[in-house]
Amino acid sequence: MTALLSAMGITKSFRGHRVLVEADLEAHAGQALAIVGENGAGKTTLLRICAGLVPPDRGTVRCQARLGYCPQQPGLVDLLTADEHLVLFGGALGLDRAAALNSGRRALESLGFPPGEKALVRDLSGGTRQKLNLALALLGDSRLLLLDEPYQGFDRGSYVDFWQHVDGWRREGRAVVVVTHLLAELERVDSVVELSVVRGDGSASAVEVPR
Amino acid sequence: MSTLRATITIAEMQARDLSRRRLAVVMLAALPLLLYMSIPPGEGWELTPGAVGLSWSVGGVSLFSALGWRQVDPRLSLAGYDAAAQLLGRLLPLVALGLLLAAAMTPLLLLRSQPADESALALAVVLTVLVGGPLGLAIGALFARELEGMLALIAVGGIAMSLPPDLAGAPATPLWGPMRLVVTAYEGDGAGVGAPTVHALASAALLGAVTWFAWRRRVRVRRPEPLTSTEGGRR
Repeated sequence: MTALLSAMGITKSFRGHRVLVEADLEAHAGQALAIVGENGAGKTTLLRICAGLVPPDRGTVRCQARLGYCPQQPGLVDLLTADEHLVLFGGALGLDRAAALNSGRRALESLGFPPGEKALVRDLSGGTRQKLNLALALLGDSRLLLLDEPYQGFDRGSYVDFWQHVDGWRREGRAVVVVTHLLAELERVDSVVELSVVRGDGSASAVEVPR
Repeated sequence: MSTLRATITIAEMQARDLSRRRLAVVMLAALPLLLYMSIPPGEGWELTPGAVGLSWSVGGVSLFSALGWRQVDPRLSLAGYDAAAQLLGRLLPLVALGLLLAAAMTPLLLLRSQPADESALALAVVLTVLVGGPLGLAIGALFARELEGMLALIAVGGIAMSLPPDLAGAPATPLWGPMRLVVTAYEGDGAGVGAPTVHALASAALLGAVTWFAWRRRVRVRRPEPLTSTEGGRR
């Protein structure tokens, strides 16, 4: 099994408050990994550290693939359309306009985004915005997907479809890391990292749960 | 992706974003005109509020543009855009809009106020835009919230308006160059345009540097090291 992401001994504090202590995480090609834990356990922080958006105080992150990152709060521009987002983000990946639109529209369509939707992002529903948010992470055939509760606002059908997509991405050989609260879906992943709120004794905040 | 192509893509999207803020753009165009027109011509100081109003307009558009994209910036950096492309791409349409506004305002200023040195006034208006754009971006990079940012912008413009340009400390303010040129234009004092022009261009460069450092501090992406062949086999 090829590891695409390895985060070892990750420790992080914010203003003296310890959020992560010696957290480990390893994601392999063709596998899905879930990060679970109570509120404030550092799930989003761990994912942001893996993406390179937040520096750890200690520990190392190594990565072997182009990563696609889907933040919890959609990082979108209110006054641009979905197509304009595809061109904007595709441009960063070296895709020309046609390639970005082609690849992005396929991803949007597979997620159930309304075809031909020309509305500005500010006029889209929460779930539709979230589909765009997720599609941007899929642009450029990223082999490693870091998804922070990517189904927020999805209706039931879209939510079910999302986990079917996770299965599909695994079959394509991608590594998928999903932050989730929904324990019912854990049977669909290959491994689980359970984070807990760091206690006074500074014990490790991450425990890998065998599947 | 080349920095030039990345800059053009960012500039295009910034221009599209701006083109949809029609009411805000109209109001921002009206602000310097209203400030200027509120004072009868021939008073001798009506040009100063007009120039400060223009800096508020350009700076305000830049500030709100910076704040509106704040959540997207880290994601764009992660996707592959470098800081230079993002900042330049953002600045270009803002300055272009400011220069259009300046081009529309200048004939009115010349006709209504009839300054002694017309070229100094035209230069003052252009330099106001060139300083106002980076000023708004710098404030947007330093302050995360609209209220604090807008108050900072009002403070910088207000000080420029109330501080006589020939006072000892006046050159310490970023808008000193255009303000000094406004005095030259109105009074025809022959003070020369060299020092104010250099000051304005240096101010724009300094504000650009402030924006750059604040941006790098906030948005910096630390790309993970590649895995070696001996790693990644823990399981």
